[in-house]
Amino acid sequence: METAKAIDHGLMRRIQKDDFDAFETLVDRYKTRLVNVIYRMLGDQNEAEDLVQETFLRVWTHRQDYDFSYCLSTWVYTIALNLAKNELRKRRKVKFFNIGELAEKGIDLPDPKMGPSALGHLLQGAITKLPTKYKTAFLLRDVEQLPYEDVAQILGVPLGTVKSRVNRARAVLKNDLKPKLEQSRALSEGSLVPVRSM
Amino acid sequence: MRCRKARWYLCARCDETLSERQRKRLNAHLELCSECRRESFYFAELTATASRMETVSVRPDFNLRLRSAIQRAEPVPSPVARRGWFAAVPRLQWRPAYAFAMAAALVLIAFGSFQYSSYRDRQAVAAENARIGQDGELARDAALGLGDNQSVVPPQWSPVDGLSPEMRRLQEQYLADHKLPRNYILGGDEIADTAMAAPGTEYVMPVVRSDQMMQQVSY
Repeated sequence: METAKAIDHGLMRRIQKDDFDAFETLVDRYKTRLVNVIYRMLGDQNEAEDLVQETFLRVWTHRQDYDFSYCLSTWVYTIALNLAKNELRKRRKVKFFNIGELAEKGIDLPDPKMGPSALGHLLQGAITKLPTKYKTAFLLRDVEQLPYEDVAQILGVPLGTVKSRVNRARAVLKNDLKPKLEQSRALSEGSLVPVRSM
Repeated sequence: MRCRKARWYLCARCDETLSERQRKRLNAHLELCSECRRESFYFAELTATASRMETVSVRPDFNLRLRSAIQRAEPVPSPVARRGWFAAVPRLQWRPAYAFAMAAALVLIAFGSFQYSSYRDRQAVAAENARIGQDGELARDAALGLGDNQSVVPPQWSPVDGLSPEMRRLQEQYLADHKLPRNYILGGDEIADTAMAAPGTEYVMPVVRSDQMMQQVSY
């Protein structure tokens, strides 16, 4: 059976011969994963899609520069994450919001009265607040479930650094979500009964 | 096992990197320590939630928008245009870096050839002067009535090329008054420096008689 890496390399060889159909196949293989990672970094789907478009545009433009000794996924993720990091850097300089403004803009905020099933929403919010280096490591490892070795290649840092960043991110998230996690634990042990709000 | 080590093992357990022995030791500790049991639940719940986080779906026109973005940046190759033997010819892509490199190469080539030609001309003048010797040079200059500021130029130079109409009139009048050929040239130090002879040609001498004219020529 052909591995994902072999499939990607086959597609890339065709792309290097200007085969646009192969490029679209590659786009279909990666677009959802990339949009989700970038969305979780930025918290805005439109911006995430724009950045992923820019990523694929760069893949097409620099198709002849691709080095077959690396995984294609590593290359694509690296481009996308660098774009996202630049975007976050730009935002840090200019954007400040308060909750009232976000509600006026119709941006979805987690309801504090939500049950334990809303943990995913809260986790998304907590991830957004993480420092970029912890956020990227956590998203690639725990959300995208990429192997540590691939994450290290994508981020361009040693394996040990990735492990420590992931663990640090987990510790921060665990502390941020402690009340909700505790509620979830109490429910799982049967010491708390869920109440349906009227 | 201490709680601190157990917490470290809990992280490692999320990645399933614990050895069998480590796993047993951790489980033994968890049996006894309710605080670490609680932490264990938190880590497990957190990583499980992360792995099954809701995914956003990409809008259906994503590929279409990407295609038009690519077409704006670079036209998508048409299969008809790349058919047959032509398909084997590598496509030359327009990139600003290539244009810059090409312009830099052209400037270097032009500068190099100018320098080389200047060098050859200077060599030719030096060779001519060496051939006739200093006495011969002085005799030639004296015969032509040249001063110290005057030099030698190739005969193909026209003294009136590139001059303003007023300068042209003055120069032509001067050449006619002194019954000099049209390729005699007026010059000062500045002109003399750039007036280099081509090898194998007969030289003519630039002549400067008027201070006023020297100033005008030296602009």
